[in-house]
Amino acid sequence: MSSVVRLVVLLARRSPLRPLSLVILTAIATVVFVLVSDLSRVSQEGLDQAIVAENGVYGSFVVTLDSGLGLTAGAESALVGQAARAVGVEQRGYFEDMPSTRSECPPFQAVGDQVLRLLWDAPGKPTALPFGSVDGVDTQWCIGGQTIPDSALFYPSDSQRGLYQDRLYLAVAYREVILLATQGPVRRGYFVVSRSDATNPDDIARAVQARVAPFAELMGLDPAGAVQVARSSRDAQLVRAASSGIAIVYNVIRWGVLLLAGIALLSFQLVATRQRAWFYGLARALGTGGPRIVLALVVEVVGIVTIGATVAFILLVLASAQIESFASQAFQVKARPLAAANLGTTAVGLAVIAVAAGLLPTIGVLRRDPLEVLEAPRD
Amino acid sequence: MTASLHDVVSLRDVVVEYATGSTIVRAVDGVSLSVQPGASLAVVGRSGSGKSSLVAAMGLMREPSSGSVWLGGEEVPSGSRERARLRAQNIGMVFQSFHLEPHLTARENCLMSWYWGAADVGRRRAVEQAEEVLGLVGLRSLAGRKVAAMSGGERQRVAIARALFSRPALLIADEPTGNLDEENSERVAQILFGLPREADCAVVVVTHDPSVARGADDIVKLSRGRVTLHGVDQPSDEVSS
Repeated sequence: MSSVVRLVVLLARRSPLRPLSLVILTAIATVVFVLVSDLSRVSQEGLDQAIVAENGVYGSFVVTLDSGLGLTAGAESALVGQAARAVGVEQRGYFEDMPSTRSECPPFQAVGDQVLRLLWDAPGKPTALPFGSVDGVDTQWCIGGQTIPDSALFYPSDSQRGLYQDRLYLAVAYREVILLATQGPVRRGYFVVSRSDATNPDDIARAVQARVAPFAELMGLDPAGAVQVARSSRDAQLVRAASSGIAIVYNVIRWGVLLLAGIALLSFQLVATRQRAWFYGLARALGTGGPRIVLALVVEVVGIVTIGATVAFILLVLASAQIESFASQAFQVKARPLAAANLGTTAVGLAVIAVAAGLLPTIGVLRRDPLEVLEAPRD
Repeated sequence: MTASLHDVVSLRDVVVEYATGSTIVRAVDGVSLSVQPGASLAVVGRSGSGKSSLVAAMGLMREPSSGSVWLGGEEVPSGSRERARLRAQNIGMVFQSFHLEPHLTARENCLMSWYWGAADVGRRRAVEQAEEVLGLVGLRSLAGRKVAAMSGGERQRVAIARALFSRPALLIADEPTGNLDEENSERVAQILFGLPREADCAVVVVTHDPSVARGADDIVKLSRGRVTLHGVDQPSDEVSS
């Protein structure tokens, strides 16, 4: 087998123009593919983040249960989670709206009654929020003679309200302060996310109602009335569709570049094997079997693609600092052209090209009668 | 005719047919002949007489439509893989168009069998072997020269050397002087017909040139796929007509 590889290397060395051209073609296509892949990623991530900040996570709903059911947060969370799984959506934590209170300290004493919200990932696991970020408002919330510092409060900025709404969030540590100072029920709501435009909130409601029905009956409540499901994210269908469309365009561009390179490589190889039909006919006249001829053709193409990809990788490594700096300064994004996902996808794409461009020409080579090609006049 | 154990190759009632569209063309029509070790045979005939088809069957490049081919006293089985193996081990071929890789040297072209894995020797021995066969055709000193820089006669000699690399029992040359001038044709013919003595292999040369054919130990003339003349003691005008 190694003698066939030696032959391929020898022929490439003695007649380097064609293999060199193909190496350059492969390198250029690989670099473009990697850069467009990363550009697609940063564009998509940035756009999606902006959409979520403005409009909330796509397909978000809030499930609220009647406090008259007498269930703990853990029990309610478990029931909602079961219902969510049954209809194929994901449960994502819950909120607790504390009873309405009025701050005794300025300036909030002038604001009137406010509901402070606590956010939980799961019972006993508070959500990490940027407490202390209060959008420039001079906050002090005083209740029951105790001052709650602004480091325990979070008031979303304009760009965050799509996700967090226009609410004042309280750190969990001060929950009991509010409860001691007020009288009123804590209202809980459970987030479920479908990421789909097609989710019907009634389906979610029915699934939850089925699970709370025994408790509702026990408490003399109507299960249908004990469960409310409301959409919490803004539809923003056009914006989300535009984002999906942009992702499609980027994919078309990057895979199109690789496909064109593959077609060019295959075309070169088809022309070359046709022009050198006598060479392979001679090999068969010398008694060489089909597998060795296939090996020679595949080794040549795999070698070209591997060297081209290596050249591309070296270029990207050398230029990665400049690429990241440019992306950061020009677009305020964090480019990572050498990310594992980019390189992995590139490797898969190049492997498919190598196999196709290596194997397809062999069909013609092996189908031709060696005697006919040897007797035909050479170009 | 029975196959002799001493014959390098024997053809027995060989028929070779081709389909061209809806027509079947019989290129070789029941030919029987044999080639003995250390002998040379010239196959002559006009264009379309079946010469190339005959040697294609003899060289195991084409399977006969009927009849049998015997190699070294054993009948050659059907099946491309076995025939390829026998061809690699026993037969060398030389073509009118040389079929040499121009960017490679004479030595590297001779090594083509080795590169394709048909010769089971190490690289060093293979190189020695290549230079030996180049010596047989008088080109040892040009072993390192690229074929593109050689004359037509030199190229054909390299092609002969390549065919001799695996020391075949039989060397078949199909119109080896077709692309050469008179002087080179004579020289190539001398080398070919000297090979039974120099390289201990039988030689079959297909040619339309009677001056080339005269160098062979035996001559066979084909016409419409059949042997019409056999033997060296034929009038030259009969051979060339």
